[in-house]
Amino acid sequence: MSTTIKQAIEALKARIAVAYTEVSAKGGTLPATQDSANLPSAIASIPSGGGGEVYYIGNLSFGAENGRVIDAENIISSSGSISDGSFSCDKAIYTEEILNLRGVFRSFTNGGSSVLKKLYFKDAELYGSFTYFRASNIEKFDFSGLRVISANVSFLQSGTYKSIISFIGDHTLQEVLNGDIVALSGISNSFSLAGSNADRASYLAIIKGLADMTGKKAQTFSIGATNLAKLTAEDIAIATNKNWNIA
Amino acid sequence: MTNELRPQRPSKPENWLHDSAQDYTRIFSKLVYLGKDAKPWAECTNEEKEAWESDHPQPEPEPEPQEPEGGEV
Repeated sequence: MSTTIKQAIEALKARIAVAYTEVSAKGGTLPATQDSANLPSAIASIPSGGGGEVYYIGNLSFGAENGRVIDAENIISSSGSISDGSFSCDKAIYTEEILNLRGVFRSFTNGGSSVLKKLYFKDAELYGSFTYFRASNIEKFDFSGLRVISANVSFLQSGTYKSIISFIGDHTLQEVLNGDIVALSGISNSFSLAGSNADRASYLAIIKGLADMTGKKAQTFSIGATNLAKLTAEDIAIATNKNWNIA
Repeated sequence: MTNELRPQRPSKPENWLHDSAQDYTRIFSKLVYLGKDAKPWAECTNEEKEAWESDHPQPEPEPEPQEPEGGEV
């Protein structure tokens, strides 16, 4: 009997070791002590975008492993926006702990030969970004890790972006309802996603992230009549109770 | 919570509601749910909407750099 238990323990240890190997391969963070107790947190550290892939754009590095860019404002100047001609990839961009980005994806145009499908952000703060963004074939944004610190955000202001079906990547409605995630947290000025065609979960995640404008001038989140119909009265009330108009 | 909703629609189906946002941006809508401290939106005819949009074209994006195809990634 004792031999069987010993064998079982050894097999379990081997599986734990394999699990840590997979965590590392997927861009997760390995603890100093790689035992079963630390395994859940190690798995949780695996970036949702898949990780491991690194893309370099100008002097900005993206990636789960070495994408740690701190205080990187002005890394992309007004004349150096990421645009269709300078950017093309067939995988997701995944960013982690990129702080204080300014002007990123300003005037970005995704169409024609570009096949960028997804944009992932984690723990990032942006301002002056995504102005005049135009995307003709991006399907998913994951803005659940994105904090907006600008008073002058005009996301997707004049874009064609009906291809976008999610602003929360692969996160679920249940996660939004549970309060596990919000998207674009902190926006405090009117903006429009009226040309998008995302699902309820995406718009609700954004509504939950809106700054509380109580006692200040009401701002408007415009999504258009078709998208407005996807929301429940309770969803809309979350915004109006924070003094946001929903149009 | 839901009974605090204040939907506003134009008095005529062909009219529009509008409110000014940042800079000289104006939002037009057929339906708006007003924030708890928000004042009702103004109303205009479709002709007035088109005239305003004609007088206030959307600002063009900044010129984009001309990069070679398949450039730096």
